[in-house]
Amino acid sequence: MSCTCDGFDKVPFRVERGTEMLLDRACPGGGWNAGNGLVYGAVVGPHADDTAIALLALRDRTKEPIVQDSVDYLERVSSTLTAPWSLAWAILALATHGRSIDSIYSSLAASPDLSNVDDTSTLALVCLALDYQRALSAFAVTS
Amino acid sequence: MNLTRRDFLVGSTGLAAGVSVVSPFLLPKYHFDRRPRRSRVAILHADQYSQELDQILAAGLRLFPINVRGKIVVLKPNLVDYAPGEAINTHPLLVLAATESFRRMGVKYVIVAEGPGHQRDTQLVLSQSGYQRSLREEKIRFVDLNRDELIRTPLRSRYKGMRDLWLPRTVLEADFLVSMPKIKTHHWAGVTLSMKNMFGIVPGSRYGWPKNILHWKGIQESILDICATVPVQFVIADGIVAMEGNGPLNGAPRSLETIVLADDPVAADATCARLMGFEPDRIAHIHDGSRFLGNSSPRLLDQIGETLPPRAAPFRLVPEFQYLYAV
Repeated sequence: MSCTCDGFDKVPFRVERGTEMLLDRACPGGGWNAGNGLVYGAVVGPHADDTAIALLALRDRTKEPIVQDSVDYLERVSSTLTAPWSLAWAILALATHGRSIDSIYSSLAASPDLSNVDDTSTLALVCLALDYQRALSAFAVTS
Repeated sequence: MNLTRRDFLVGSTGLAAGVSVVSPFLLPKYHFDRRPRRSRVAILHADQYSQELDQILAAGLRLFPINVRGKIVVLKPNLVDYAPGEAINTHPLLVLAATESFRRMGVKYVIVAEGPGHQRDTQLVLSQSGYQRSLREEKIRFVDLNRDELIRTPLRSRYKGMRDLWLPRTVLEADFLVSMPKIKTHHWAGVTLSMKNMFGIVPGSRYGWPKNILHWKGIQESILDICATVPVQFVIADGIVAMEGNGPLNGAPRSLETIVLADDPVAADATCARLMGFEPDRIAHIHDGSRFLGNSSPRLLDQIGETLPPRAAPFRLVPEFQYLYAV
């Protein structure tokens, strides 16, 4: 079914610009944070959740070296994560990029911090991560 | 001169258009004056983060005529991100000491509240920075301001041309709001002290990270609009180990061995700026804040407790803010 909404012809251009911006703003060595990876010559380190969100957006750019570096970073750092928000994003992104998530999935499912989560955005994200196969297909995020 | 109806209409339309274009620049940006007649500032010496902070802070608070009995006290530390060994965040031991002091003063309860500006995962920052364990052990409630219930709040000044902001209920319903900044230089704002610390109440869930709308609209202007809208009743600034250079994340730790207390955020920030070797009036939000939010002039500050220490080497700044140095 074709869409008759106005403005959809601009979507591919916007997606391309967004992709360029993400690749430009990656931290040296891989990963992303909420801002820039380099400020006044100083490296600002990546965050697991920002990296995971960017990797979900860049699932079709797996040949980019910075994407590979970022997946490696996320896989490395995910074993140290305990907070449900970051664990959940890491599960979704690493599963999308075909990496093993068994260990962090178990960590999230058994996390004692889950009982302290009182904001709906984190709860919703955790639910998606614990049902990641259906969640990713529902959003057409397939590897 | 004969003025035709047409001349009059053209002239008056042009005048109206001119006024509508120019008036935003001429109208005052605020319509109230919250400045106290005089402001109190105390500089306390503390050479390290230890259990002794409890006694030091309690003694400092006794210098102020504060009545918080039966009130809800919200402590707003500066909790941005975590990097081992870096002086980024207000130290949790100072927050614990403040909580204990206010509890002894008979408050209804204390809430620690913050919406980290760089890190989306608040629980991760709490855990890594040592806050989570301390808060649990002392049974202190923490509210993530990035994800709190929001209330659309009209702004009380017009520096950045916005009418309102969605702000967290926890902060708006506080009886006594305490800003607890880390004394730091800031590569975009010059300094980050008690007024800039209020960026943390703007919810990331609504405005993004790192509080994007405030950066686009102007940092100095945003600081003024937020502080005009949400009054800070008291300041406890952590300068035991401060930060200089490329702050607020990548600067170098700088030992200042100082805690600054004040009943006026402008007075607190002006004093901190002087301790850092800067001229407060060259910092835009302190300069404009001193016109309606508080006092920055030493003539209007009652310095209690210890005297201003002898001037040490000024804090290092990024090149863009070299003009802040006092001569």
